[in-house]
Amino acid sequence: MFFSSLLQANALKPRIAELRPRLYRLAYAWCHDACLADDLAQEALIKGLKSAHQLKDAALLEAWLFSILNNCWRDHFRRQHPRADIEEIMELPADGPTPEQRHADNDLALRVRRAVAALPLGQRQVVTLVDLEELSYSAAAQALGIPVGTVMSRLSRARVALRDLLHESPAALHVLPTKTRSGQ
Amino acid sequence: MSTQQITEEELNAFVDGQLSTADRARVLEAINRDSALQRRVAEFQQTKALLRHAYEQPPQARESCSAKTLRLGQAWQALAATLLLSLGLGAGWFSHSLRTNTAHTLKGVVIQVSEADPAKWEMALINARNVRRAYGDQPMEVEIVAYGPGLNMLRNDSPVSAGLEDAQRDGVKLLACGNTMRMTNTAREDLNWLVDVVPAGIVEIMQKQNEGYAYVRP
Repeated sequence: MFFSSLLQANALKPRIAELRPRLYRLAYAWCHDACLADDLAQEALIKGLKSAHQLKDAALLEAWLFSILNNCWRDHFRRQHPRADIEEIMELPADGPTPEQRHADNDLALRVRRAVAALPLGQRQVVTLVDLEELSYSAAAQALGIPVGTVMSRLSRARVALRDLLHESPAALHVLPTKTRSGQ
Repeated sequence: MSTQQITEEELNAFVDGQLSTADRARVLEAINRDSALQRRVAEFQQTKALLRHAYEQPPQARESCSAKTLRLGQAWQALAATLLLSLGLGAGWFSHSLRTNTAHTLKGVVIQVSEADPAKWEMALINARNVRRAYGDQPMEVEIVAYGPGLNMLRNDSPVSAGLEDAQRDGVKLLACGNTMRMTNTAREDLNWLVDVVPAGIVEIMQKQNEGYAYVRP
């Protein structure tokens, strides 16, 4: 029993390491800060490698690793904003606009990232897990430790908000955001 | 009337392929009968495509911020070194692609048509033809990308059919969004024969922007 789980854990390690770019991308889509995303991805990767033996079902690897990333992210937030309601936090891109970014300011990709950054965190996490990582609703629920019904309602609200930001009033995204806002 | 039976969450689950076969059939039937639902589904699809492409190449962390990460145990340093190396390569490639993108000369114009408003369709066609004419024989690609409710512009029964032909004669490309066609059960034959189909309208627009096209939304 011990040996078989050890064998499985060892077999998982390369697969976990391979998920590094996706951990980074997801963390970036949550925080829009390259340095922080890199730290979070690294932290989640190391925790994942250390506790690989705790994963019961290898098919759930992605949701499991994303849940570790979520925990790292929450720990980070608790350190930064001890009193804020984490679900409602809106963190805007911390990377100041570089000359390249300013030049590409009307680039659609940047506008989309701004719109995502403007979503409350709870919605941002759900929509990135479902649309970006293509997780099923139940896997997303597992990764975030929330009920499937909450995944569905947040997703629905996130999509309406993104539509309003991207399709209806694209000009609104050109307004440069202030650094961090809290609450809705 | 069937709209009432479809919840907001079912519509999302439809787009995400999260419905059972029976529910999927029921929702699909309602969507086929209701143009407002079709519009919403097309919007969800676009948002999904946009999101994926927005994070396809996220900016990579610079070497300068990796210092914070060095609280790793010894056993992991070899692994981290490998990862940083691959990150470094990624960052080099990314900054290279940024340079080529920002130093561009204007290659063309991509015009977005996503609304069901014939006045905007006219405007798009006039803009497109004016650009083409202003540049005459000089290379300046002009394309109109229609998606969502804007797809109707390119249908056989479009009120601007004559304008489409004029624009095409002036060298304007007319492109229809394949995603919108699929979601609205639109066949190639339903569209003006001058039209070309691209897999996803929004993606086409983003790619052209990346290649150095100006983006215009009338």
